[in-house]
Amino acid sequence: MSAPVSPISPIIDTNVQPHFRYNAEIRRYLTDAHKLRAIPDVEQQWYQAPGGDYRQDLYGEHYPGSDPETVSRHLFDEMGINFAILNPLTRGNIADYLLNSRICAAVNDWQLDRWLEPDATNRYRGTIRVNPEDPKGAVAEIERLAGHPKFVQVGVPMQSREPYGKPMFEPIWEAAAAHGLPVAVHINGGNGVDYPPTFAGHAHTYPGYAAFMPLNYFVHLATLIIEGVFGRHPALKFVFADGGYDILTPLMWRLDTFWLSMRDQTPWVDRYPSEYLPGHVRFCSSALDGPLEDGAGGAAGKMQRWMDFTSKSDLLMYGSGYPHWSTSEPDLTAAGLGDEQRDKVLWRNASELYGLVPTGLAAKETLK
Amino acid sequence: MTTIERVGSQTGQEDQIAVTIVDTDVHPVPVSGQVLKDYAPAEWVDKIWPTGNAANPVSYFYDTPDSYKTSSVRMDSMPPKGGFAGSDPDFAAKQLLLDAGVSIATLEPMCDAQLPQAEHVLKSTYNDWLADVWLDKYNAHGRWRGSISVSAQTPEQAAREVERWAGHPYMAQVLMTPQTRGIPFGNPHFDPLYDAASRNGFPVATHLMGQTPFELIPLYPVGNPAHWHDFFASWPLLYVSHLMSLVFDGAFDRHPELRVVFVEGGFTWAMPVMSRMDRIWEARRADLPQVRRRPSEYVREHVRFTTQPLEDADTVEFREYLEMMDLGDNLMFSTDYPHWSYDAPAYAINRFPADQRERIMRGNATALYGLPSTVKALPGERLDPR
Repeated sequence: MSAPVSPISPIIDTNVQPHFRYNAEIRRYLTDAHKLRAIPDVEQQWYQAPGGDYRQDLYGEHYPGSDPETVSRHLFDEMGINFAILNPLTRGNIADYLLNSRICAAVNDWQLDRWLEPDATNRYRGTIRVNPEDPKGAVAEIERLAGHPKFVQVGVPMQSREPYGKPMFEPIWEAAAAHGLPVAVHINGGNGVDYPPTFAGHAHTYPGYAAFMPLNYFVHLATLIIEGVFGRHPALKFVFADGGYDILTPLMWRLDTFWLSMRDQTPWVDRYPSEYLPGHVRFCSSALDGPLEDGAGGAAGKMQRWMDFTSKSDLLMYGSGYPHWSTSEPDLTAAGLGDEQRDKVLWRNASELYGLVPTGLAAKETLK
Repeated sequence: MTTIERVGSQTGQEDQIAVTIVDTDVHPVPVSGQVLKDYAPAEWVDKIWPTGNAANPVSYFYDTPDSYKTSSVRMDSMPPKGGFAGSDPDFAAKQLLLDAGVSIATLEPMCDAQLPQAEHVLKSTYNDWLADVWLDKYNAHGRWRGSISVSAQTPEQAAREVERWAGHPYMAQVLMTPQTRGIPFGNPHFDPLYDAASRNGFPVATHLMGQTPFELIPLYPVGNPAHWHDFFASWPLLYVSHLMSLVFDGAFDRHPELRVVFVEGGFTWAMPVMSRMDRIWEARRADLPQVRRRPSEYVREHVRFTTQPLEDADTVEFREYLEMMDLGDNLMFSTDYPHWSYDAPAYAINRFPADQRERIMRGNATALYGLPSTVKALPGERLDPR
């Protein structure tokens, strides 16, 4: 019996939320002009999960996910992860967009100071958080930090008052694409000026909020395609970091169905909308996606076929969501997948997107 | 009142044919604004239609292809004797029942008004018009079924409106807008309406009101798209929002007889949404004491989806998806006649897995609405059962 090249599958975790240790920690990274401003706490106030948004066992003297050594032990030692993409939250679309931009910059400086530069293991990568409500400031922040090798993507909130296909945002996406940085969209609210989170208004329960909110990505995606943003920026990539790929197939089918009819209005959409997915769109996995084995549409063995609709295994990257209450282990995410699908989801898709080569693998293997 | 002649309803043709296809989404309109006004309370006529633009206001938002010319309808559905598409019951019968082979069709007029009382009166007026014209004068064949339009803004009055039509031989369901001004369907706001509908055995159907002005378009949580294309593709998420609210807010436990029909908002999303709800219910049951069963069980028992517009995916792949979804008891065929994105029965049948076809084309709708197994044939309609 010959030993496999890599006895344990490499794993890249594309969705980890590091936090400040305590609410005031951010003030160390703000200039005097902003040190005394009102800034929301680390945990979101509206639609917070009863009992707290994060894993109960991780609350202590400091917020969950705030100590690099502890996080490293959980992710790298216990969960077997090779690389972790940090995507910190920035406390929502607070009304003062210039202050929000300073919060984004503070979060970025803190990432460098506390996570990325001291990281002797070279396993953490960071996200340049920007504020889309301040497009010029967002572009400037990308230009300020894009050269740092540890930053591998740009991060924006799911919450927005205009979908991301609208023209005011395009300079931000253009700057990200010019630096080869994907744009990660992650729920980042509960403290800002946001519209109600469902199409029918405010949810009346936390599960009603948490089950629906990730699905809003589709409006961003649909407008990025139909407004021609992907068409104009061939290198632009979006990562939808809250999952929601479960509903991708039905809604992309619907978008494809009416493409031919709508060409007069948007002639720049020169192919089926779903054809933009492979070159432009990735998802982070989540605990709420996919059929249940004994539930709706999820008879045992269907997972592989389900993933093949819309070639989802080419689009999906493992994301733990650590330290969220819904943190999912790699094994759970990969349950039911075929070997090739498993490889793609656990590391290969992320390796290609971020150019990360897991330890023990030659570069040529990673890129095959 | 109208100048439209009847086709064949007086010929003594009494042959019965088997019900094979039920169409759960057809859109009639009044032949003229004046006709509709004749059914309205006199004191409301000038309030509801201050501009006189009564029956068919131009759909000026999120326009469909060549909207100025087509008004979003099939161009061949314009009645040869004049009037707007869907205004001539006998021509509709010829195209939809005779030519396309539909046995029974559920009519869903589309109307909306801004102010609560105006909406209530407008919908009540539509009900009187529909009952008189489509369900009586032009229903000698007995193949039209009606919807009781109600205002979502006035649930107590909506409940009384439902009671007003209880026992009507051809009213089959309640019809409510999904554009509920920020109140999700599971909110107790709707309890009086759901009580009345349940008491009288009426399902509650919901349909996008396409003539609605921008102010009543649901606010998309991350902002609204610019074009009909991305607007309409995202639109099912409104139904997802309402469905999650019905389940998580306990509406199906408060109203065990309630049946909800989501019209024209897609249905392939039901598979992921059922799994998604099941997953969070299992993870967070302590937050959902009012939800006593697995969410997907409520969907299977209480919810129906109409099929048009069928998604134009590869036929084999689409069938495979529907087999995996296993919702053959919950889907009901619809054409959306006379609108532009009409699905013909002959096109649709082939899209469904073989063992789901009969249920989707006929069985689920006849069970839900209590429809007969045979109907009167129209003159010239072939008598051999399909």
